[in-house]
Amino acid sequence: MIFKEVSPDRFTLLPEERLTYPTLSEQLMNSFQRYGIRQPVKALGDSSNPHIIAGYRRVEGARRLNLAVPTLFLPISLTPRQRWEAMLEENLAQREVTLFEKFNFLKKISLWGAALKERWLRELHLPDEFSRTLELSLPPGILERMERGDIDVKSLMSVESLSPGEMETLSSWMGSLTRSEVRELFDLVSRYKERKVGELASLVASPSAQERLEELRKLVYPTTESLNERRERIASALPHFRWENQRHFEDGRLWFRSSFRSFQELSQRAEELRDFSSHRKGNWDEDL
Amino acid sequence: MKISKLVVSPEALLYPLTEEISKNLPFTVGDETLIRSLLREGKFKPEEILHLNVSKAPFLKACPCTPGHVSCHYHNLNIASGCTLGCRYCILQEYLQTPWLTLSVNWEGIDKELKEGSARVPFLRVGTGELTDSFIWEPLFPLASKLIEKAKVARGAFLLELKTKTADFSTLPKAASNPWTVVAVSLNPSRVKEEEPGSATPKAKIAALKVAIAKGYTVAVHLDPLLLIPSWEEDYARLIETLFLEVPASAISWISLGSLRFPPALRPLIRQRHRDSKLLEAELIQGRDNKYRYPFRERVRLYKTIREKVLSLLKDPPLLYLCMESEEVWQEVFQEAPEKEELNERLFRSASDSLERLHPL
Repeated sequence: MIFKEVSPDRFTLLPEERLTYPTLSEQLMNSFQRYGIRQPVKALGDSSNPHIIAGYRRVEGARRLNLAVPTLFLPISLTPRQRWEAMLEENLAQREVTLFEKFNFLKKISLWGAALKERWLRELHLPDEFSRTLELSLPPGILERMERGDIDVKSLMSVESLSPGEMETLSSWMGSLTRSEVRELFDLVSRYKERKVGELASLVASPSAQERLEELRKLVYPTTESLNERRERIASALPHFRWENQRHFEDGRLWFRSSFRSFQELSQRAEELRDFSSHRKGNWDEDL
Repeated sequence: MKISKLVVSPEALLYPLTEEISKNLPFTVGDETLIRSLLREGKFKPEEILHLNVSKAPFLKACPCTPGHVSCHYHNLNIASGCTLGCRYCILQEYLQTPWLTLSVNWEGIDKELKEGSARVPFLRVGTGELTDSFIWEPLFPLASKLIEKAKVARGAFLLELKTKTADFSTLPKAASNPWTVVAVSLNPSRVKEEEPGSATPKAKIAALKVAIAKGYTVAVHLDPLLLIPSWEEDYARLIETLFLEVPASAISWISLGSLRFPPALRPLIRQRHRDSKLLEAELIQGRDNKYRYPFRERVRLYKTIREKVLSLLKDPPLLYLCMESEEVWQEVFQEAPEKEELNERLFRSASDSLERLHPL
């Protein structure tokens, strides 16, 4: 193994030659600036034409800061297929590889045949059915969320039946949604399609990502959502009563609970219930 | 059932049942590894392969029902697995690790298991329909007759239920004495035929029930899985009317009601394998047991409507019960939630009373 310091300009960072897109955090850049690149990158070839096996992020950081890149040259020759496998194995040994990277890797490795793809699906603990998602043309917005870890295998597989146009629509809807909201959105879109409620595009007019999510919930789970609405109405009318979180209201009822520390508090709660009951004109059996 | 490839495990070779089945079918000695390689080669479909093996596990098991739900204390006799009917909602698509047909030939311990089971469980009700359809095996060998003989000899120590979606009871032996057997069909309106492509039509199943009654059996009906299709009220009402027009209610030991439910892993399979299926079009929630089901109120409405329809047609209706439902749903529909032993006894007695009327001592 030969160790050399190499100018970052010597490295070519072609998208088709890398497993991941280097996203550099401010923290990492500060560290590079303060201490330089401390962990050598691994490469094949020589210093005039190095091919990275592991360390794209570091090379990208070095390029931006104009730092020399400590490089370990491996004294082996690898076929392109072996290079992809070595790149993945290097990354797997160091950190958790994102779904996006696994997806990218499998797309590349599929070029060498189905048997190899299937072997890697197993190695990466992905279900065989995942291979269908490799055929999808995923918009940049979805790829970016995959790289951030916001989209998991189950979510990605749930939208495999979407057309490229619908995939674009879905991508444009993710906007400011949090990770758990993105996962819920994927599940809702998948159920929306299964239920054949309508065309996805007809929902585009909704003003915000959150409101659209709300709209989808109502369309996909009308019964559950109507119970949710009633729960909120009751909760606002009974501020000292706490809703017992019953998953999907499985027994069909809404359960509220309250505690008290004195008989005075108890009588206040009873008063609240009486008010609520009379306001609802005795129709509250249906809700509670 | 059309078997294109018979595979016999080496340990299953010297059994009478193997001899009987392989009489007319050439076979290969092998195990699951061989079958998996045959499937990989794409020469056969899973449902064309029959594997004869020796089961090391007991055959008789309590039905797992679903945790936290009202059980009917049913017991399964799992001597065979796999099905050729291809119902799109069938959990076997996801549940079975071996997607081909399997029959265990080591029946020598079955009588002992049933004897011990009936000593342990009063009013033991036994069926073979958890992992297969009880009647698809008939073209291959008389499974039904063999089991009925065991029930007859046991003289009420257990009650056998043979449950099917087929409609050919020509191989069902005529019961000269009490067969201690209930012949049951699972019914759905013809409108949902595409969701259960291999299943016989409701008309044919109802005609088959009449054949079973004529041969001296009591019958049962499973309205399961009830499907919330847009026209369900009308379709199920018509189905129930036709049933009671053709089959005397007194010959029906019970009617079970169950609605569509399936584990989460089945959802992507339905979506991928059956793109035109309507099963996923209704609102489905994940319940306490994590299975997908219709929401509580929808299920209650479904069961109540069907119960009311039955009650509107008959003064003395057959025993109705719910399959894999929660106490809360039972309470809403029947204003009670029986203990499993109690429900089991009611079902057993309903069938034995009917059989004793048909075969008085």
